[in-house]
Amino acid sequence: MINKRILRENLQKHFGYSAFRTGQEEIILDVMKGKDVLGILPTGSGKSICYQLPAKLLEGVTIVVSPLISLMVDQVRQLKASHFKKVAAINSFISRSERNHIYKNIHYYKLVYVSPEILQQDRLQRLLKELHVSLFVIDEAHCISQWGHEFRPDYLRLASTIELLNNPPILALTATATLQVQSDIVKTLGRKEFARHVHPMDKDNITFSVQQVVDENEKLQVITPLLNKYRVPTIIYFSSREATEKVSEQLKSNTEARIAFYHGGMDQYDRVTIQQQFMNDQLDVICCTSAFGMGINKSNIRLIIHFHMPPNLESFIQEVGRGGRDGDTCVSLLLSSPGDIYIPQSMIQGELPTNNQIEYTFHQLEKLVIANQSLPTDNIEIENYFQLSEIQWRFLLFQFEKRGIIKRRAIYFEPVKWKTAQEEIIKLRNQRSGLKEKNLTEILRWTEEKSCLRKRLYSAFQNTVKSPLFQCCSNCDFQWSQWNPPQTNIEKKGMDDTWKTKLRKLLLIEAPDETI
Amino acid sequence: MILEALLLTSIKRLNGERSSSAIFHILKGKRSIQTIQDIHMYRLTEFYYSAKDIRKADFNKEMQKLLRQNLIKKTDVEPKIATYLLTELGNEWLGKNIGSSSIHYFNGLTYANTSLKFYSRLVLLIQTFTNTSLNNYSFLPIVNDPETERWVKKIYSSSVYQPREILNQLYEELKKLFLYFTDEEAHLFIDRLTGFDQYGLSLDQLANKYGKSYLEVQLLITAMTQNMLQVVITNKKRFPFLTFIAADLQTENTLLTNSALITNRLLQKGHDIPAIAQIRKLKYNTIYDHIVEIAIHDRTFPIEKYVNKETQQSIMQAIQQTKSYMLKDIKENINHEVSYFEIRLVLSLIKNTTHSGDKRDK
Ligand SMILES: Nc1ncnc2c1ncn2[C@@H]1O[C@H](COP(=O)(O)OP(=O)(O)O)[C@@H](O)[C@H]1O
Ligand SMILES: [Mg+2]
Ligand SMILES: [Zn+2]
Repeated sequence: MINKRILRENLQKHFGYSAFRTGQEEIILDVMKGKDVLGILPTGSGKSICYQLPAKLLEGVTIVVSPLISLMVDQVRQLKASHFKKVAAINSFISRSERNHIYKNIHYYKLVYVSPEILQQDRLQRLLKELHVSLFVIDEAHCISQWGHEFRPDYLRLASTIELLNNPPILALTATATLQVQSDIVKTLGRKEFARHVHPMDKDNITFSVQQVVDENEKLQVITPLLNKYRVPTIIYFSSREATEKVSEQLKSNTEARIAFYHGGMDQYDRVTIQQQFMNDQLDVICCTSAFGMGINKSNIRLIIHFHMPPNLESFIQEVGRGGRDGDTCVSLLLSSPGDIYIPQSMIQGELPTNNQIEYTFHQLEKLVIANQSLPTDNIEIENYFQLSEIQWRFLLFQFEKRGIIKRRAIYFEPVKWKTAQEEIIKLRNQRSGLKEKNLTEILRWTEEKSCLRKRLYSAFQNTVKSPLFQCCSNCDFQWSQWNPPQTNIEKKGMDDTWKTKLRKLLLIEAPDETI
Repeated sequence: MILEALLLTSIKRLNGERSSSAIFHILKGKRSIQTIQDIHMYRLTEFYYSAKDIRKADFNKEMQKLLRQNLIKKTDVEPKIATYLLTELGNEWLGKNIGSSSIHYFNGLTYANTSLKFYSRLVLLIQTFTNTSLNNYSFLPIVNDPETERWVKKIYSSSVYQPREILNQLYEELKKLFLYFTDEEAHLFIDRLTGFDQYGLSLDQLANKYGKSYLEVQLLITAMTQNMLQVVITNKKRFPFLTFIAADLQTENTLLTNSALITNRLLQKGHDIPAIAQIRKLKYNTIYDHIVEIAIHDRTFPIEKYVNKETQQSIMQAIQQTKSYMLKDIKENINHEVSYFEIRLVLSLIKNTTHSGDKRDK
């Protein structure tokens, strides 16, 4: 029998934490009892422990479906660094030989992270079927919801995969708590009863500030003096890679702060370097896209600036949630200017096929049928042939497969069925883009809110909002002059060292006597 | 400066006979017969694969810059293909700067692949042993390459080496090794290294700090690493630990058959083919086989000793024409004084360049 004392001992033993954080223990107890669990805890509250500890304690293997490869890689490396060795990540980015290595030793692992796409592979499914899967985890489970952030058809295939693995208990975790998303998750996974653990997501130590400006230039003029005044760990979010590079250059030349940019297009070595420099207080400011932060657990981030607004309130809450994890003060500043809506708007449009594209795709499919051909084998060929982007094609492929129009590479033509299918898909597409537009309008409205920003922000997700620990928001009481967070100490060490001295210090060699 | 010197030198040696994309392919290390032929024909082997990450747009920008600065000019031999020559100014610039430009560190054809691995090992070794020697066991490895991680782990767990000893030894050897470079280069290289509680600088940060472009920093580190490897391998006694790091990266020669190995030793002692045939009481043809085998496995094999440049060139051309690696096809399309042995040697050159290229995909 698992009891609280044993859990706590193991938490200490395996992870070095002396106590559970809010929500963890209840979730883990239910997981250990074999229940299906839906856990909704705010970002940074420690959801990973909810399956990492059971993975250590349960017999057999725990499978974790994780949406972001960088996140997966970070987690696995962190686990390995902290002595959880029997862990592996399988995704499309590991080399073939690495994958073979993992497959060959699959019995060895206690915890296996997979991307939903890889999980659909026959070879992996066959291997996993032979294992005893003791727990099936869906991290960032809001991705399951059709109305989640990104449309990932393979998430909708999880239910059948779970069946294939002999129906292990499920743990679904997310920080996104709208009722719509919750019911979608439960419905898609096809289980009757979930033990739900939903915790409020409002952070009482974050102060919200929104500032209207005329253009990007004015945004720079707002940020520059702030960085000069406050030397505190700061993240600035942008909607494009180019912007992170450009603005970080401009800020570098106008402030004293130590600034770097970070985005998904950088060389791996540099990504780790920048991330770790920030963790280590060698950098003050990171200018980044939303790619930064998922795996980050720096506790003393004091200032989170949105140079561009995210596409919806949920992303905003997630990103802001990276601030002030130590419970101390943190300010969120969103800079809003009239043109800001166009970037996210065009992104929404680009993600989904247009009605014309959908019609064209059906037309091209019919041509293949007439020529008695199946689908091109190569994704690039497919995208060329249908004139679709990868993400648009993924959206359509799932719809085609769901309706039996495409099975493997073969196309099944039935004129009447195709006609209704086309109408349905167009309807679905409009629904989805409408919803994203609505989300966007929602965050835009929030930036124009006249009453309390805090209350308005959280009211869509929960009934009560804690009262703030520090200043509340720019509509209630916030003033920069009243904000005095502790500043980062910078020791200017080793500035004039010779390279020999640098090397000596790097390699931890004692200074020779004569130089003292 | 390293970038300009690299481009100008390449343009100079290509002598207006190849387009600018030929240079691009060389820097990127393209595995095509044409590129391989180019690097051998125009003495550009050391720059092969020197800028594997360079993007076409950036490359073009650099070429435009050279044009604007009047260091190169377009030739108008073939209007459709852009070929270039150095201007007088360009020649002058090169004469003045090539010596201090660090491009002589490059040794691409021989070391491009191994130096990447060597660098990863060195970096991760330093991070691992500085941290563990201070009892910090939870750090995020800066190198994310499973093969390198496994290698470092093996050293770490084979308690033969004490962390402190390794660091001391590394210090002694690196101190000597950096004497082969300028002070600024040593600083730059060391600034990128990660130790305990101190993460190295990113390429972009180095570029800012040293007033160079991102691309230049990348080139410089690549060039330095290739040169380090060269220095270490030719001075094994002075750099025992660094030699150890590089050792199994150079395993190709041990793939030789025993008999070829003996021939190889004799060759290295300075014996020629007739002498070896006599010593070993073997037919010439057998020795030829050995030499071809050695050439296939040893990328540094001095093929010029056995096939002169012009013959190499005509064999390459025959290969181009026939689009074939068949000895017979090639032989039929070439001056009949050229022997099968010579053809096979040239083929080995191609094979082993493409072969070494293949390996880096893993
Ligand atoms: N019980 C605990 N005590 C102390 N730190 C914890 C505890 N549980 C988790 N953490 C730490 O909290 C941080 C955030 O955890 P993570 O699982 O990534 O959060 P989430 O997935 O909810 O965003 C990590 O650094 C983790 O080590
Ligand atoms: Mg998480
Ligand atoms: Zn308020």
